Amino acid sequence: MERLCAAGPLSLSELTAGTRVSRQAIAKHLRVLADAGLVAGERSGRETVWELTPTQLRDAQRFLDAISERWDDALERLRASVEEDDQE
Amino acid sequence: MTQTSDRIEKQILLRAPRSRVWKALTDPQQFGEWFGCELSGPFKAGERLRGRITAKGYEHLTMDLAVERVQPETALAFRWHPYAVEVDVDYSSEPMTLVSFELEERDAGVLLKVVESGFDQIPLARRAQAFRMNDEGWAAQVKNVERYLVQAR
Repeated sequence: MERLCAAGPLSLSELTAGTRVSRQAIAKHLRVLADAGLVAGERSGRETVWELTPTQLRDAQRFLDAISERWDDALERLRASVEEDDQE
Repeated sequence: MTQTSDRIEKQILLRAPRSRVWKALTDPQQFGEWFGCELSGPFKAGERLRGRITAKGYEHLTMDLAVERVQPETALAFRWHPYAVEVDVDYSSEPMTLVSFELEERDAGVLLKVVESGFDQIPLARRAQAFRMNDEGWAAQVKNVERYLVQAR
């Protein structure tokens, strides 16, 4: 992430160059970061170029995640309430 | 569950009779209990309701609901301002999201589908603002990712 931050968008080979970490390991890390909404990859020719997700878009995703979590909590309370009196 | 930037979709199977689920959704007091607010009245299509939030730490907030659809034991929909947590912000001029509940009969009970949509219309800056106050949570999340990465090695 530091390298993406300092150097801007980079391909997997560029990210791998000069490190002792394997290409597969970096690819795996990128997928985890992408799932967390921290980086995004865009295909360019044969390679995918990776860059940090802009803060606002990341915040927008977190906004949605937080609301999504509230729905999960609320629906769990709803379930508890309707299923509880069903057993009475 | 699917997610895009514009909508949140949830499904939950409730092992209870349809009439019971409908009551929990539309009876103001019962709705208030699981949703976490005190509603000013019953759901009626075309009407506006106010809800005083009862969730801990948010008691100073009220929400406005614009009821769009009430179809007994089948569908309920309203619009509201999502995550309207800042007291000094007037949300009334901002677009609202649409929350819709649909009930489907299943052998084991009722499948409740909840969709909240229209987030793309909410100004990006506003969506981002909701988190400025919560940066500690974000830092913790980054730590979690880091921990995950270390384990993945």
